[in-house]
Amino acid sequence: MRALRLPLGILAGFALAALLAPLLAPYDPIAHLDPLGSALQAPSAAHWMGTDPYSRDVLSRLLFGARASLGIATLAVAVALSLGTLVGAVAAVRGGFIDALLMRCTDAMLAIPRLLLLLLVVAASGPLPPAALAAVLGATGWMSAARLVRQETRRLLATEHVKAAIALGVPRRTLWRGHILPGLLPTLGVAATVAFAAALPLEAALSFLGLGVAPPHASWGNIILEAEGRLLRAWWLVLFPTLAIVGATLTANLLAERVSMRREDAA
Amino acid sequence: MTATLAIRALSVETTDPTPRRLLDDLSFTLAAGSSVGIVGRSGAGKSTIGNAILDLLPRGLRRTPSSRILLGDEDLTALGAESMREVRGRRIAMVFQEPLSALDPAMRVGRQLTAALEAHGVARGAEATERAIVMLDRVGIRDAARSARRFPHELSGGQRQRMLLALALMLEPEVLIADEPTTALDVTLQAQLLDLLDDLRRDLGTTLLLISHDLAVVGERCERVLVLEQGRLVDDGPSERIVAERSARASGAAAVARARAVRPTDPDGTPPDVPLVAADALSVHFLTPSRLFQRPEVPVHAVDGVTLAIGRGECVGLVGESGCGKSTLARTLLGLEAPSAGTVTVLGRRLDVQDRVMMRALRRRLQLVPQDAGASLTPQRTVRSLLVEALEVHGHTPGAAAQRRAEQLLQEVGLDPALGARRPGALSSGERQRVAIARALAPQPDLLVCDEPVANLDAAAREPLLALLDRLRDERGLALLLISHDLGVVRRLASRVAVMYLGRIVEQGNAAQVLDAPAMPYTQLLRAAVPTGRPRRSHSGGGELPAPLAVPAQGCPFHPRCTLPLKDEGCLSERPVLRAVSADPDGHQVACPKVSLPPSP
Repeated sequence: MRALRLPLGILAGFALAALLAPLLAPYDPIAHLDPLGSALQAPSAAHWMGTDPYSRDVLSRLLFGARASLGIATLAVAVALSLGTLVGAVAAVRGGFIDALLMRCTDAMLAIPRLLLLLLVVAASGPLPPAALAAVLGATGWMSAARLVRQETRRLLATEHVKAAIALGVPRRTLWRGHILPGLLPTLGVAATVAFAAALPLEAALSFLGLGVAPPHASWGNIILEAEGRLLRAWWLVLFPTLAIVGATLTANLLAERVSMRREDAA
Repeated sequence: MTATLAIRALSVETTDPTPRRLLDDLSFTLAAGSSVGIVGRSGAGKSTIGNAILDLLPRGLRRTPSSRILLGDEDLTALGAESMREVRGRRIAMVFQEPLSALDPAMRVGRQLTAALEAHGVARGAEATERAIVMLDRVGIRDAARSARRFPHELSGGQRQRMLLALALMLEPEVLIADEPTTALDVTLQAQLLDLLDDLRRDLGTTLLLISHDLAVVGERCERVLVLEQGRLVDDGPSERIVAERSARASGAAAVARARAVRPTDPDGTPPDVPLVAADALSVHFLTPSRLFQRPEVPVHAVDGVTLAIGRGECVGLVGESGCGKSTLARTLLGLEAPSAGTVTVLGRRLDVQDRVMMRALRRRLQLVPQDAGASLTPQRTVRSLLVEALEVHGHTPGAAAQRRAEQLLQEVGLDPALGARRPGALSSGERQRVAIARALAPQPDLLVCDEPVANLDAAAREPLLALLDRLRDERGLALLLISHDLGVVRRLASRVAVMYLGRIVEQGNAAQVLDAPAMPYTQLLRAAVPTGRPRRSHSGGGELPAPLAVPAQGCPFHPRCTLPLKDEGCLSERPVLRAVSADPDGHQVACPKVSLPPSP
């Protein structure tokens, strides 16, 4: 448990900052404060992370942007995990033709670059509300979860304790809830953190390309978008959101690694 | 060429800030060419000794600085990693317990042997291959040149263990450490392998350190025995003395229980009139998968025409080597496997695997305690929730009543009800075995099938568990079908015994008759293979269970291994059937037309 404390603590910090954004943010994230006087200012005592071309406070936008970025990534993980678990578990239980079919579909999905797929979807549908964006992110990111869940379910179905529960005549629902799912949880934990670490930068990339969270609402990706044409000069518009994205992604990856180490230790 | 291995003040401790000692100040000497055994319960630190000598301790453990391991005049604790690698395999070799995990599954066995030669620069190329084949032949692997090209999974269990021995002896080491080398094998294979180990050791002049939980095995094969308890040496002496003293002490403790056990056994061992479960001419065949361009499917006769009855409150033992069909027979009696021919009758009703309603009702009456009972418990669940679930599945009132009943069950199997809050991982293997029994008792069955109930337990935990099973039979009128390759376990509990060989019952009758005075050469072979702790004079019977497809197509299935002087051409052509050899028609039966009952005492 000690090994998990650090990454979990950092992620909790990010989540708390997002939740408390209205209390923590020094300015309104959307209102143009003083378009003529204080646009594109470097960090100062009044604006710790500077301002953007519309004179909005970058720190406030970063805090509110965390809500969008982390919220969408979390929702995307939930979608990806549900789809992946369903596909993986059905493939493992049914076996044979169904298994082969589902797994070849998974392989085919994995063969298409995810960003390309996302761009195609968004290009076809036009700008999406955050919930729909999360759903699309999840629908393109369930494959690794499906593979992990299939593998682990196959292993669990062959264990003595699952066979013993079947021989005991345990109803199917209890079998899944009481004997298979508990063994699956560590794997789901790994799949969730990996999916999170993948979804976060993808949402940022889409928003940076103007296809994600629509302005004026902030997300970590579209704050950087405001630096378009002056990436080096307005360095604060690039540095701080990038730090946030990299920090959260690295922490999620660290958590994934720690969780999977624990899983191996337990096995 | 052989040097003396001397262990001086060897201690092993954890590397935590608060070190805990696993081995405490061990000193002993292995004279060149001698054989020394180490016995102790599981957890006493036996395996740690071997690993400490070879500097193979897992992370988190270390030898204390004062420990010395002297091979000849060389101090192994002072050697660097590179020189230590030279010692391993070349001068001190090790045979591990699990042959499958100790062999590389993706490498042909011959290649694994030549790799050992090449790694130490002893031989390479054709010469190495030549030596590998000679070694395989020497450890008794038939058709060595062809076997060398096989993969580990293509070898039988006995062959794999021989292969490990070949691997260890390939470089003719001065010292051989064998860590539970035969624990995974059944008695006849165990005896053969230990014979082989003895022979090779004498031929090569190798010093042997034999580590085992089984004093009988160690006492039989070693000149001297060291007794390890909680990391300390508590006794050291000639094996005759240690075996005599220890077995006297153990039998004292078990005497009371045993006295109780002998009394209730049915003196004539006849099955009662209405059997609880009866198999009549039961056969179970499996089809080997057919592949393209291969011969068509050949049925494997896992169970072949078995007739057996178990009465209420009776304990029937089923013995035989691994792979003889014991477990398949049990699974078929429980309705977990469909018979290919013949019938199973439970309380007068014929079992029909297709009839789900009846199967559900009958499964309640017949419960299985699986072979690895500890693994049958879902690790994430508490013991209580597993028991409550078993009760509810079989229609017990849910809720608080089931909770109370679960605690009663724990008490019934001799466990503290407080253990109910724990998860299986926090229990000892003996406790887990009891929980598995409690779970099987939940639907109040009439028959409990115990598949190797004590095979995974060490000697000290066995007797209480056997006593528990016997008490349940006695007090609840529970019938037991006891499957084991351990004749001692069966003799202790069963009133009647059936001996299986290749899917057929070859001898059955009263436990005392069959096990104390067996008529069939096969039963005699099983009995002779049981380790006694006394040094062995003659070799145990040769041969190994043939692969199912290699079973003689006609004649007596046992004839290739039979040692009976009366063996003749008839054995090659006629399938023997069970016939009574005592006046009582339900008494002692054998499947051999030639043997006669030894004169009764």
